[in-house]
Amino acid sequence: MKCKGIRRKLVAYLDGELEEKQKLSIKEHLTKCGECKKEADLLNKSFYLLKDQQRLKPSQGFEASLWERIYSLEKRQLLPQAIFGRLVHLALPAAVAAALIIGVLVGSSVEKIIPSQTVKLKEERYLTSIGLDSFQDLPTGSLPEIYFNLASAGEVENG
Amino acid sequence: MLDSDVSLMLEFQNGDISSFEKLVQKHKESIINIIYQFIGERDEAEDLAVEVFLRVYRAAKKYQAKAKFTTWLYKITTNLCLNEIRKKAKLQTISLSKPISAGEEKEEELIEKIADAAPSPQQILEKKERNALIRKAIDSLPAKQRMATILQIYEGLSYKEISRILGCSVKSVERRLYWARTNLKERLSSYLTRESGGGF
Repeated sequence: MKCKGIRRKLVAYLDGELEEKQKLSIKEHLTKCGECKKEADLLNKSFYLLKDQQRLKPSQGFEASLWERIYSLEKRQLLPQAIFGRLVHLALPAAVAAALIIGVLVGSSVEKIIPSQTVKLKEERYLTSIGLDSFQDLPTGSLPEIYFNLASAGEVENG
Repeated sequence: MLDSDVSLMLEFQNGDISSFEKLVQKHKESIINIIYQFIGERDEAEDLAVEVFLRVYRAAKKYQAKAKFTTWLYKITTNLCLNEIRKKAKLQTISLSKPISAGEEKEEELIEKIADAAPSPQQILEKKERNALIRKAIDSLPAKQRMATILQIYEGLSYKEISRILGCSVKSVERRLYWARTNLKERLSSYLTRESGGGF
């Protein structure tokens, strides 16, 4: 391997991540090549400089903060159920109100679509078709006519 | 055989809250440090670490013991860190390349770091300078290179484990770490050469 190839593998070599064959090849190269050896030393030093950083200790309140968050999470998880429970109680009145609103809206839109004169005309036609438009007088000599005449005469006398 | 963390997680899944407490106790320091190295702010690191364990808590019911527990835990941590960086980039409230000067470091943090040796003012200054330089060097790395570096250097994970956490190939981890360490070496070279000359 040439220097360029060696250098590409130096970090993995220092981290002990290479196969035995590659490891030996690089090890051998480093005994012969001063520049690559220097590069390997600098990489190694920078690694230990970083590793030497002191680790933080968790603060005393860390676990308290965690349990506080867990507690509020549990509370929030209960909340949707409570809201859903309330919604069930409101469901029937809400459905009735919605049906009424829809009815009014549909009614008013139907009125807009069919003018009132057309509705009246259609109404008259319907009454004609079922014979309710012509009032037939009581048949002459019939019992209802006699009763009607007697009742009318009584009313006149009383009046 | 199940690893002990997986067993604890399965016990927690079955309702044993003390197993969850044990997991938190065992891993909180690693998680806080991974996030701290990635983000660079102590308070934020702790807040995000709380979020990591909260996700573990929430995911318990769906948890399946497919891999090592730490792989899963570090994956949650990594995703959270990467999302945080994306959010910040969107808001443009901070620059990823913004150096965190030693002067911005909290006094409390500094005291904690230097408390063990009672160093001289000169040593304190040098340490501050070194920490600032390292912070700046780490912050300069692209997010995934940075996370691969943190997992490798500070948690001692293998390339294979890192590839599982980052969801990429081992080759890709090797490439990322090559570029990351080459960049870090360049950025720290002034300090490294001074050190070789006996400066620090």
